[in-house]
Amino acid sequence: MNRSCSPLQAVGIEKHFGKKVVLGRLDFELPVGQVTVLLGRNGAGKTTLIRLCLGTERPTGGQLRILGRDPVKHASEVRRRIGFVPDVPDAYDWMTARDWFRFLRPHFPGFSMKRAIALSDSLAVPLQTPFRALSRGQATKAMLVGAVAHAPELLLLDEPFAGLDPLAHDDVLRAIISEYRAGERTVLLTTHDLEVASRVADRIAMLDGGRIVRELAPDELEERSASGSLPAQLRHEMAESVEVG
Amino acid sequence: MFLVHLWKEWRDHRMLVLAQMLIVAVGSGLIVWLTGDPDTGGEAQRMLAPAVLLLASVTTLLLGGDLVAGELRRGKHRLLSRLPDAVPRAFLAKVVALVLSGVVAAAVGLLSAELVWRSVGTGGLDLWTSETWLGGSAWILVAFPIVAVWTLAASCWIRQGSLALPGAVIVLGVVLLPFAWIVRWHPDIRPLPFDLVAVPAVIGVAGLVAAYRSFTRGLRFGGGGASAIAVLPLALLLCVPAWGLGYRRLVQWTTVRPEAQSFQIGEVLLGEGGRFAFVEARNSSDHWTKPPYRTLAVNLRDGSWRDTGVSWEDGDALMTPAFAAPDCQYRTVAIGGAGGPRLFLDGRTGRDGARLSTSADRQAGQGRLRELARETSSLTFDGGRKAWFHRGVLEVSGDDGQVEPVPWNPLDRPLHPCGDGFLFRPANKSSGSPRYFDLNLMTQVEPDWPWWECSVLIRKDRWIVSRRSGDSAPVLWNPLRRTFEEAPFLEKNDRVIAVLGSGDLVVGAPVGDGGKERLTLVSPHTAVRTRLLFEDLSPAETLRLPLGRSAWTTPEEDPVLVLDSEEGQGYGRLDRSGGRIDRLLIRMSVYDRFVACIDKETALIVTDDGHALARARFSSDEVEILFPR
Repeated sequence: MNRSCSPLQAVGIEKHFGKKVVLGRLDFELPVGQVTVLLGRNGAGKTTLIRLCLGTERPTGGQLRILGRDPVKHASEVRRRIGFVPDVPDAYDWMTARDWFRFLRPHFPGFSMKRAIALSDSLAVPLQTPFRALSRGQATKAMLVGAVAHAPELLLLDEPFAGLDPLAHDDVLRAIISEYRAGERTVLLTTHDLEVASRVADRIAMLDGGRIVRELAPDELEERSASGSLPAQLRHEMAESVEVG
Repeated sequence: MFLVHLWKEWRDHRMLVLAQMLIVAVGSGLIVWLTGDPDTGGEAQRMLAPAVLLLASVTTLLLGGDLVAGELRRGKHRLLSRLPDAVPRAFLAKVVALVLSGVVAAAVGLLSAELVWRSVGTGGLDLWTSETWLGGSAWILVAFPIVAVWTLAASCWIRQGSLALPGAVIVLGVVLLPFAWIVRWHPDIRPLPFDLVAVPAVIGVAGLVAAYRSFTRGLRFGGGGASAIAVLPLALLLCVPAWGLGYRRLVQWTTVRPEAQSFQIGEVLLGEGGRFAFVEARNSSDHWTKPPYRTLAVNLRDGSWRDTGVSWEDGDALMTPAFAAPDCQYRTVAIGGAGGPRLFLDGRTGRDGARLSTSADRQAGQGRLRELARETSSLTFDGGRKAWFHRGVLEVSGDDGQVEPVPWNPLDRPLHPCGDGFLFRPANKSSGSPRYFDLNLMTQVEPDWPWWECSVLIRKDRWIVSRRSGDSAPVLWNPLRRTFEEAPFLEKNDRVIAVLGSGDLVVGAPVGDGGKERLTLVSPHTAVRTRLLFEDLSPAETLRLPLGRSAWTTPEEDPVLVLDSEEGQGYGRLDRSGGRIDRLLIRMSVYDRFVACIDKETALIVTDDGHALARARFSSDEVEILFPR
């Protein structure tokens, strides 16, 4: 793959909070048009990496390029071209999904209200109910719709399944799968849910101690899926990688 | 994008805003109900608008604290920070929302006040007067945006909406502390119109930058405290121009700059020997109100000068006894301000004699000043009693040597020395009645003449009241009988000009029909009239005493009088040995004046429209600027 075309290029990225090293000389790259799952335990640095990609945090060292641009220096441009779903829906609780889309629209030139309404219909997102009255799954789906309604080139999903009950979990997972299959979109999904990873990932990267300790390419994943239960193998791989790391 | 954020602010805070409007409406109505008595009219009405605006401002600022703090407390700042360009727009929306709610609250409050006024009074509330809006209301309108932006900043740091306003007040207190200090020590200082615009603008912009930076960069800075630490130095740095302006005004207020166009010379005393002049001066046009006079010791030989460090807000810092020595030159010059230090300067060297600053010293200084006044007073009454001025009060030594302060009402104004006696200005010019005071008898003299036609000369035992125009001959005031008497030694058209040390009078008398005036010496005892060997005054010239004082004299005791002519006001020296009138500087502005004779041929004058001291030569156009050089 042409390196310059990668929507996310991280070279030697470091992030320290005081003396605590969250990311240490991380090298990472996202291939275009694939769903990459970033696996890692709590505190592994997944959310920090996402925040660096959004430009809301500044890396301590190294070079990060999102869609070829520095996400801090060119924050506005980068943010207009990416979509983001946080782990906890954080829209204003008095807003309905329609209000939320109305609020987002001026921020993203490519935002399509029509597309947002259509997606909401297909994902069964209530448009007239305030967020405070939506279930966690409905709220997450509304956030997902808001994140993709401007057709972003890169979609960042920060543990969207955290805290979801099993039913909502499957509901959101289906929504994501249907969405990413709808277009040639590059997706970075962070999770510690191996089941989710095995179902949606084209590629898996394992993050631990601030570094990528293992990467599984699509052909490798395919091979392992054929040979047995992928989640179990991933659990084994993770344990092994962490020990090595 | 901005509008969507404004809409968001409205939806986010609409209940608070509605509650605020309700509070303002009810509160304004209550203010009118409780304090607004329609019978009191204008005064009550003038106070209503500021009270209502204050209520609207305070409620708006309390709301403003929640605009940012609420956002931060609910964690929505992270949401805004990941949306493109959302944080600056959100900040702008908050500022506009704050201003709008303030404007609407003020309108609601004034409307409510108007309605309640109509219900309790007669007619409408006349709030739209210049008195209403140029007083307290104007200050509230200026202060509101400043406090508002600092409240936004403080709410980023404290993150508790209710504490944001007190926090802003504390920070603003720190910012305004230098100005409070200036006013504390110089209560008469007043800002210029430029300052009233520039200082609020600078402090407002500093607050706006602080609020913007704290809000937009708040997450990067970390918590509220870290945000404050990161932003406050910058905000305070931005306040430096305002402090600088305040410092500049303070310097302008407390120092004199002789080179500046605004430099103005007040009283001047010439030290003994003519080497030093002691000058009250200030730069007045830099201020709305006039700054205090500073007292300078000026070396007339080289133009060097120093500020003695003593000022007096009311002027007249030079406290040398008012009974001038005949040659108008001073051996000791006492200067001082009310409650401040007293300083004695050597009239020959210009150096400090003693500086009295403690209360005990000042007490001692008062005694020293009184002693100086007594010693240098030239007025001794029959029976050996002396009179002098001390700190604006006339004092007379009693028979037993005790000092008796003279009760000084109703004249209530300083007396002016005049030769062997006093010349007093009328106490109440508007009454049209001259009021003079007989120091011997402690009584008022009231000739029935318009004061502006009169001049008064005082001898040891008689007043001579001379009418300047008309056919009346000068009359004498007999203090024993308390009546006016004809003066047998004066003729009908005599105009008494001066009383010489011998007691003889210098009188101007018309010569023929040409309008010329001849100077004659008249002895009041023998009525002998001797023509003085002076040239006659032309019809356009008038020689007179300087207003409120005796004639100046040269070291040889030739009198120097004011000479009015068609060309303006000048001075004339009666050169007795030469028998001529030596004229000096016929063209002088209203601020220019004679100070004293330096020697027989030259005099110290204030010239250049009150901006400079110069040495002028009699009977010559030669003028040498001595200060500032």
